[in-house]
Amino acid sequence: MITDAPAAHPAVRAPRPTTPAPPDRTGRTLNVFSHGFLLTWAVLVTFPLLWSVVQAFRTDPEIISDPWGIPTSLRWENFSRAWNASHIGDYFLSTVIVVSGGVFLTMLLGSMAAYVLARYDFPGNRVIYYGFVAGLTVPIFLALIPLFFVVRGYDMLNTYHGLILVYVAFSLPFTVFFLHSFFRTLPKSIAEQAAVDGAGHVRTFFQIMLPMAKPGLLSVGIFNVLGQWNQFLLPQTLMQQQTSFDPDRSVLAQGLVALAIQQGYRNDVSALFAGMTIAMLPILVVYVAFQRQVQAGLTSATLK
Amino acid sequence: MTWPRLRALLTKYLFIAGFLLLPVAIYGVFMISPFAQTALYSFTDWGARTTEFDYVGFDNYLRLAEDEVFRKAFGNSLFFFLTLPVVTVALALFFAFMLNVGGRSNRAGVRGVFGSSVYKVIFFFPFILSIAIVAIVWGTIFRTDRHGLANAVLMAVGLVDQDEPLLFLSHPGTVKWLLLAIAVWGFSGFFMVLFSAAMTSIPRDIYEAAVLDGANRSQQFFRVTLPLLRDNVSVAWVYLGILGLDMFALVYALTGGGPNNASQVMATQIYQTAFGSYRPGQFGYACAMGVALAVFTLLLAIVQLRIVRRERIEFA
Amino acid sequence: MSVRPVSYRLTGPPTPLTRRRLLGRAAAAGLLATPAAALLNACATGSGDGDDNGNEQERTAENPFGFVPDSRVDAVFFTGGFGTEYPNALQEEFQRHWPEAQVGVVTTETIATEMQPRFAGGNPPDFLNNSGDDELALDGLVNDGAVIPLTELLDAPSLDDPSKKIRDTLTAGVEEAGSFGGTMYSLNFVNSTYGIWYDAKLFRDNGWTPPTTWSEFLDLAGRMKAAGIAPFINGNANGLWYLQNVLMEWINLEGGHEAVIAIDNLEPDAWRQPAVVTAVNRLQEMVDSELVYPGMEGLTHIQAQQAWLDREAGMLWCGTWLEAEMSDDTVLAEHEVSGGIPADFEMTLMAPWAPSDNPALPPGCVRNQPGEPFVIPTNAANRAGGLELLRVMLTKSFAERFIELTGSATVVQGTGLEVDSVAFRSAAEVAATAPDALNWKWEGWYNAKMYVDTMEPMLGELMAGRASAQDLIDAMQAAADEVREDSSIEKFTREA
Repeated sequence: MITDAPAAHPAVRAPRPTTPAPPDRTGRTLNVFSHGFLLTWAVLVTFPLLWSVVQAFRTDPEIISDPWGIPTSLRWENFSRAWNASHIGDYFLSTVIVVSGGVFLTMLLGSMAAYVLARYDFPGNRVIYYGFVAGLTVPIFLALIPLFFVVRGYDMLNTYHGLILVYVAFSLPFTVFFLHSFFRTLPKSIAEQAAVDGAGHVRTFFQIMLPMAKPGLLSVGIFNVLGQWNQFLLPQTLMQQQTSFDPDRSVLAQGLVALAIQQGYRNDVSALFAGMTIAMLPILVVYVAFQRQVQAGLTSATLK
Repeated sequence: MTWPRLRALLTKYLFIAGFLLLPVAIYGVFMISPFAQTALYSFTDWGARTTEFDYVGFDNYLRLAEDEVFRKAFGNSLFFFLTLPVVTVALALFFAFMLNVGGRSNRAGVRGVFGSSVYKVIFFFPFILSIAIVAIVWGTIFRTDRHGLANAVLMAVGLVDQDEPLLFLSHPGTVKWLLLAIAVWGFSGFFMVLFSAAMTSIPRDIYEAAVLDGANRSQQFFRVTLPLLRDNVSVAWVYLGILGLDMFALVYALTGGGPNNASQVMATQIYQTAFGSYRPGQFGYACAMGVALAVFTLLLAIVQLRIVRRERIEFA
Repeated sequence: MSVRPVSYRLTGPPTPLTRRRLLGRAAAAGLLATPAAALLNACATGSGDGDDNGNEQERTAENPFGFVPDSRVDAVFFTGGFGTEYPNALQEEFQRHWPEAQVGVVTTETIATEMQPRFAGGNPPDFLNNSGDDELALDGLVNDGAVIPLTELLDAPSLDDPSKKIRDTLTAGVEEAGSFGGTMYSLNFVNSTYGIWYDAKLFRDNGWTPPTTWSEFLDLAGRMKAAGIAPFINGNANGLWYLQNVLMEWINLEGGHEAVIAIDNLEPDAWRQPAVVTAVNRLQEMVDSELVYPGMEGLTHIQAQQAWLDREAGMLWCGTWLEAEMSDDTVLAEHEVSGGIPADFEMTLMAPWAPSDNPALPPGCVRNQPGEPFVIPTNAANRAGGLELLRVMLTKSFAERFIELTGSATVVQGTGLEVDSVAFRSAAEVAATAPDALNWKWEGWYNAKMYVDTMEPMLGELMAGRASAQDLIDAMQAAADEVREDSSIEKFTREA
């Protein structure tokens, strides 16, 4: 797209107040090029996903011998096999419990901490703030084994509340970092006005500041949902049956990876694709349904 | 100090303490303390199979300096740290520009190209998928014999010989670039939406004025959009830099660092040292690697933030 | 290009795509057998046999471990090559003997990932099938005293015939295969034979015969290529362990046992012996002459085995778990399509061909060893339960059930005589008629330095054409010298 820059100069002087402006040739070339590129990228994004969904309806020999063919018949049994073999329904439920609890607590505690750190001056403020922010830069798995012992010490292995608390701890850095800058930009005058009106700190936060921060909360919340939904390492370590008699509370990502790992030992590619489709579709549907909110949330987040 | 003022101060600090107590406690117990323990273990020969270990001083760190694989992993991490932000930001900016202001300008003003709302939805898809899914999909596509989708397509159009299929992720020369491409594939949609959001906040009349002055689209982009997006780009750059240093999930799931460590990054190297069950006493060593990585990441983040901040001041 | 091997840890993480050692625990675990590791032994027995275990009652002849009949046994199984059904069958069998007991079964493909924290936390299962690519390193477990010696199991009366000790109901080599310094720590339950597999029908239809020498192989390979079939395949993405076996079998065949003993004993220039040079060069020749399946560098062993079943390649190296691995019962039951074995496929084992025309050992020699290790953790809450579960596993009736479900032979004497499977019978015949057994130990003794760090990456580079045979030999010799000079590595030796 840089190639057309010099050619554009003569046009600078051309009087163009009249509309519509006649499209110049370089513009058209650019148009064709960029449209082509956008289309190509759209294909690059959708095709692999579509292809995987299509594979879910085929038999293993079909997949192996002709990777880009279409199904000869819709083999729904791949889905029932994936569903039965891997308990995807149970995993789904576990995931919903953990993620809803985790995101709710993360947002509540994260906004509380971010608010206090952003709007109040007190000794230790910066230490706590940078303590949270430093958490953004270190890889999770480093803390894995010590973390296992910490959680075990509280007798919270293979429990929903244990995993939720860990999710909260690991989501706080991002949440505090993001909301901190958000709260800083909210006008001071409103909080002062509230104080004059006799509202306490707590009431000011919950009744005035939180509602004002809604767009920011929404976008951070979306990220936390995505992050916690796709989290794998933490549940893999902390959500393991502690004996064979312990209930299996695995989350979806664990189930998917287990399904993938089974491929190393069993040859059932179609069930793998079926399981993947089962896991992928709900989140795609949720995204398409809420994509306006996601984009709006991101917009407001960048509109500091 | 008068009593009302004292009381106000007291309520203020009570409020601060009350609001910070739970978040800081949870963060301290489940995040800070495990990490601190990790730092402690980096001075031991703990194997994480039993509860026994000895302190070995700086031995693990000295070993690190001589570890060839770690050096390779370090180089690869640096590669992703540098390339991932450049490519992703460039692509995301291009998309965002095309989808928001790249359309034909006419009386109705400036807008995105035809179908931009659909593109915006589609391009975001890869970002919401679990890495497990991304790995399964691309792993199958890049299968190295004639049954792999990519190979099958290339053979059908005659670009690749039946007996010489491309090795893709199994070739040391291509593996890093393909991993980079897959990462860009995954992330660019998200940053496209992020930049789009910022672009829509740029007042339309600025563009319209530019159009009236006869600026073409690349001039609009470089003279109007980019300067106004500087802040967002900087943040994205820092974030992508951290993602590039990590790359754990993708490498772990797709190549495991192979072939012959050609795609080994620091994160996978640490994980395999800690949990690969081939030799005893490695956990302490893995912790030392982790501490090194954390320090390195922190340094780079600080440097980046410094640069970003300075620019912001100059810009303002 | 630098060919010096860099230190190398895993071909991959414990994911599917990387199951390097696979059922190769037979080799990796069992090889520490003969030499005395008195230190390990002492430390493990010292803490091993204590009565700190609440879940125990008085020991009697019928109940040799003092198993509490209404207690719970926590059992964890690796479900790779042998599927998920046999653990349930074992559970049923156990409850026939102990109706009040409860056996909890967990099946997984990632043993180390899931068990490492439980061992570290002092909360291991009562019974563990430690196997697969993601197994816990057995020498490490023994070293840490984390698993108990199974001597009391071997001395316990058999459930089939109480007048016999279990030791006397097992086939030869079981104790050796699971021993460290003369004490058995793992019970290797499956009798595996290793070698080259082919489709007897394909061979018959084309008038081909299994080769025994290099010329015969070259001749056959030429005819296979003419028929559009790649002569040889193995999945290199996680299957370099398989190729290592091909190489070591060749060295053993070509140079006789002395050649391998010299390597195992870290003798100077052992890797420069003519037999080694010949064998490594043959591997390179297979690549250079394009006698291997195109693209096998990036395939998993499962993908490679499937390509072989689809008759895109003629020969493949594997152990006797191959048939069970490639036929998934759940798939069979619900899918009407087998896990990938064509109905007319006659899966047959042959002894490896020699890398020359005048090898030291006669044709027909194979490797045959008990594999699939089971261990009892020292800190198990119900150790007696774990041991009792092992005792039930070693009954004839369960062994027959196992064979029926998995098509694999067990170490229980007098079982599997009636199995109706081409693969099973061909392997039994090859093993029975073998004039000599192939065997090497260095891979288990010095696994980290010599195998993981050196052999595996060098084999990968050799097969991809990025390293020469000489590079591999130099690297292996350097690694062997390094191990010999390293006083921190415990040395073992063998006489025969």
